[in-house]
Amino acid sequence: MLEAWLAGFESLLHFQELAFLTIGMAIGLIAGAVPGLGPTTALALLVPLTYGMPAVSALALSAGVMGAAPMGGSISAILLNAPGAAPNAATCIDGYPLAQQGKAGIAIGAAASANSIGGIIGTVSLLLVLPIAKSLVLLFGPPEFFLLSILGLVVVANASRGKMLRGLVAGLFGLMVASIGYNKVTGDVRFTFGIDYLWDGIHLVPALIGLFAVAEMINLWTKVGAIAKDARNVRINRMLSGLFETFRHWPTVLRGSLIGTVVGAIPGAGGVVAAFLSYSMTVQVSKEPETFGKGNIQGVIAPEAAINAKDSSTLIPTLAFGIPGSAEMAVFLGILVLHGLQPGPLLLIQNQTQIYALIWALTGACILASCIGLVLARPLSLVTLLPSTILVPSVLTIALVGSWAVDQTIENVLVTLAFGIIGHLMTRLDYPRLPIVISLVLGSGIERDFFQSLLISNGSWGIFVERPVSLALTLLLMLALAAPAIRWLIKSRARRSGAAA
Amino acid sequence: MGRQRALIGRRHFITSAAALGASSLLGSGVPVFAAGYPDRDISFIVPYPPGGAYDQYVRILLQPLSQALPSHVTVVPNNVAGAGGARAANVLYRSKPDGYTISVLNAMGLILLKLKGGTIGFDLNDLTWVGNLARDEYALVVAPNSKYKSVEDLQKASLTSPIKFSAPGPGTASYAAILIGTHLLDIRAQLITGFRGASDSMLAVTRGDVDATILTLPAVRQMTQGNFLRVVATFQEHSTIPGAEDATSLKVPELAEIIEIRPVAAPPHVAPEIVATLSTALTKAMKDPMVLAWAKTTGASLDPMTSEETTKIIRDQSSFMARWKALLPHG
Amino acid sequence: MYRILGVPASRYAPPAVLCLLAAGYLFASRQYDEQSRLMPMLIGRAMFVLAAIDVLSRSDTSVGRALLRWLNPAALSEQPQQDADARKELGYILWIIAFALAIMWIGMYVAVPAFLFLSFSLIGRRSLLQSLALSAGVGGAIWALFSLLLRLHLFPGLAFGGML
Repeated sequence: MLEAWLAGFESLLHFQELAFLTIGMAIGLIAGAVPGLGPTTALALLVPLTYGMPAVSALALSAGVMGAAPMGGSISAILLNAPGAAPNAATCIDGYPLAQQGKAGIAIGAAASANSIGGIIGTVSLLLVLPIAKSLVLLFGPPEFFLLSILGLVVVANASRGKMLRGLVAGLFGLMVASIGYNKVTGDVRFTFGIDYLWDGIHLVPALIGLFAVAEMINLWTKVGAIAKDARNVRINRMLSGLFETFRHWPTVLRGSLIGTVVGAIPGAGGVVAAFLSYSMTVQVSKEPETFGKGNIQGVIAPEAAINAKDSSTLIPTLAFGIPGSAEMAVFLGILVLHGLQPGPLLLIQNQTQIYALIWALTGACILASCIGLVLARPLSLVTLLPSTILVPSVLTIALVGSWAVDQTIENVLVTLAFGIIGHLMTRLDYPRLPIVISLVLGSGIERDFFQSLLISNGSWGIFVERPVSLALTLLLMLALAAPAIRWLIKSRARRSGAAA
Repeated sequence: MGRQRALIGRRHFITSAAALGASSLLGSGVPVFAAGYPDRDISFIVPYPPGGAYDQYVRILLQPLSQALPSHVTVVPNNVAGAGGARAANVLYRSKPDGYTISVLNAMGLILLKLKGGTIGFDLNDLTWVGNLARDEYALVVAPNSKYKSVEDLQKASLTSPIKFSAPGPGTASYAAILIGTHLLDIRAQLITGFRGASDSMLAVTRGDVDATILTLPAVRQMTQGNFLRVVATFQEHSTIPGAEDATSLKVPELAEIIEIRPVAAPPHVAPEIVATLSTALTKAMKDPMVLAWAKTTGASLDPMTSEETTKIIRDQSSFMARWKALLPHG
Repeated sequence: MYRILGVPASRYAPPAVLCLLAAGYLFASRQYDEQSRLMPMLIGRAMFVLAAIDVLSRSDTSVGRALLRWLNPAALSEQPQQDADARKELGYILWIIAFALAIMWIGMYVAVPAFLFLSFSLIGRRSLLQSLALSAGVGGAIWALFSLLLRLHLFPGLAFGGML
């Protein structure tokens, strides 16, 4: 296997391949940064350009895009509260407040380093797991997916400490929205009121663009000024300290990377869940949970590490069985097919060198993109000094056009608008946005997995504890549900012993 | 401006102005004859997002098709996903019949939709059928270590309790294939739907969550080659898989009528000359060595058809499926 | 301003609206069959209950205060909203809605430059020349990115032949 690793690496070390990797990276950074574009659209548009290219060049190009896009997304998330791609919405939550405090440079620096480390950990995990990938994928069926989704919801609900009631309400609202559309289990179409567009439900990326970017632009317009509240405080030369922050909070990085790796491997969960789960877990174990959402650097490190870790592990089901876990993977599979690499159980056996070349290229792109992000952080931070009267209309335009560009469906613009207003109201009325995002992503899957599980088990609920992985997940779920109570017990005991002392 | 989806690409105003002028005078109900067709980009609509099976078929054909067309115009893919393929059909239906918009359609899914009492807004037979990309036949698969070794085993076992089949959503061609196939084979089946696609469906069988599934041969190819699934029977007259039963050996010839096709259509009332150009180009493109090599690697069953053959097969399949209307759930 | 249970009526508005939304959602779910209805019923009921608790928690009663302290303590330190901002906000929101509708109706080629120009000149109070230059710049950048680089056909507007 080591030979294959080295052969893969060696095949990249040619001018043409490296050139394509770099081009892919540039495209990935830009596509990642513009809301609504993202790696999926970029890859889809590159497909025809890869005709006639040798396979490794096409893989290098794709890897460049996939590896660099998250960094681009982080930059716009931090500077403009505009998630470049869905997972970056988690970075907005603490990244943008940091930019408002003039600490955009630190945030970008931390994001860049977390990106790289997360990417490396993800790659290492991928390489370790690849031999047993097929058995792993076979362990997860509908009951396991159902439990995982519920676990995700509970963890995120737990994270809105202090706002539990409103957090739950927000989460339920997200589930309501997620139930719109075609129900694959019964074949029913629900809550569409005859509108064709809603047949597939509310499209996620337009909704997120609205929820974060548009909502914030409305807010910014009302408060005249610039994003950075006080120009004198804008430290655009403290990126290095951002880098060091990541190393200082190494448990956060590690935790984020591991969550990203694990969640990324689950088809259908994807980057958003990985990022938000990582964020929520970090909040939960933190000693100062109230500081999150107001510019806690760990709130940037955690999701960023997860996002890049997931980029590697998301290849596991793709490479093992040809199952795309996300739209991005589906397009990538299309590129593989065009170049004679047929995804499926035989891919790893028949095309080892190319696949390892891909993995190396992905990691390389991730690290290089982070470096570029660092270099660009200083000039880009100046955006936070732009007066809102220039910035807001510009960002709004990019957001709405980008939202259309996701799949060239004009109704997306209305969705972005609606969620922009909703997001704005939520911030004004103090409802957390985190739970909505998770429910939007997991909502329809939960119902489908639940019904499928019961059909498989002939109606017996035992299926959720009979299989080894299900049992483990159920126990984890019980733990997560009990966590707030346990925490309260520990705190009150500490208080009591403190009072007695 | 024309009433088509605005194509801001290469525009040769001199040559196409005449055509556009003529068509706007005549209205969209009359066939459009444009001298010098084609002289700009042709839009090839795909009913699913990029990366899926339909998308792959179209993308592999883009260059060969462009080469096969007179004046070698570019063919541009346009993914119009939504409503299970119905959105693409509608966009096509409403496009200008000038030969610059064509689409591959998931015909079986659309036929099904109509049978279930739904509507796609128009009659499929109104479209101008240009040709066909592929014709896939189905196979019944089980896990390699399954206790069911033959169709007979499944039939016997289903007498006590229904056999579990995995299927994607109730509106898909696979679903219909399973319903009709199990009915013809006298296997009492319980369909568990909602799987996210062919791969998900197959993994459920390998994992043991369900007992079997019915999918097209290209879809199951790698899984069977990698020994994750075993083909018990194919819905072919003569099975191409050694050791598997077929419609002849099972004495159920109608099984071979259950197929999946990927036809290409143009809007209603396209001029016959334009259809002929497209049809010839499509057939020629499908014989391109690169396409053939791709088909060999993926196991795709290319099946180019003429415009008349495609129109006929759409009608035949509509009547065939209509016979099983009672089996299909009503939406 | 009416006061209900010791608190201005407007304070109850958000959760009250959500209660209504949940009720509407439950009502709409009735038309689906049993299996399709199961999940929406669960969600709708849970939403209604929680929104109702939220309503109660905002009242100035002992039960309300207890609920708030227990389930949403962060709200204890909330500042009341300022009305002066609200009118300006509404104006901006309406303006954005108009922009979105313009994109749909008259298309991106017209709506984007128009929106940019009007926003820079009327709202931003910049000189006409400055606004023109800025709109051209931003609009041009967007066109270059989406139309040139990505080869997407920008939406021409429903009035000019675009389709849903």
